[in-house]
Amino acid sequence: MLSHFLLMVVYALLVSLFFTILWRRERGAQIVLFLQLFFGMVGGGLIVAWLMYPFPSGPPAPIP
Amino acid sequence: MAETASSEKPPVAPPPIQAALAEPLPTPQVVMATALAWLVPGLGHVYLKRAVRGLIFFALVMIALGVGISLQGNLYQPIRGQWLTYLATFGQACAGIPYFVLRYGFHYQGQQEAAGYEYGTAFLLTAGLMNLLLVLDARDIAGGQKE
Repeated sequence: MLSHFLLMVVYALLVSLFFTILWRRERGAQIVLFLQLFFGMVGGGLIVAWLMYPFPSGPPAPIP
Repeated sequence: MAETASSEKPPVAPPPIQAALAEPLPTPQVVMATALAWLVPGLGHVYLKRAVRGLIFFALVMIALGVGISLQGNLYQPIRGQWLTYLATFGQACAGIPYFVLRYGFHYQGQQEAAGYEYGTAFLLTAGLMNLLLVLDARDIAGGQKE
């Protein structure tokens, strides 16, 4: 449950479903908006993570 | 005769958005829908005869709360001198009764040492803010500003 990626996907799923039902009524428009929101959040998160990769925020974690 | 017929303007149909709007409810019912929407996520929509959407919203907000609790996220309380805690408390308290049950019923606070603390806090804040949007949505529907 503590996988960063899994938590990001769960978060994106919840928020995308919420705004899809809040903002759209027709089934087709709902599917389009859901896909845009979900893949926008997950893909955007991955892109930001990739851009931040060369800039670590602190000392390396100790090797157990 | 033909000129007279051609000079007549065809009747103008009302814009579809106006046709879709419902009549605004009386003020007491608008207040009731808004209050119910705040107290229990989705209940405002159920009150406005949108039961399926209300149940889906209830499930989404409760899942967000449940994930936040399982990750031991922070349930904010106001701290004097830290004004952001007031804002965060307001955001989480927008979840309504579930927030107060967690805080005063279960004395839940979260666990800062937990690995999922930051993620859980984000889920708890999101649950509250989602319900805030539901409150505004229910108010708009009851006030006839949204279909």
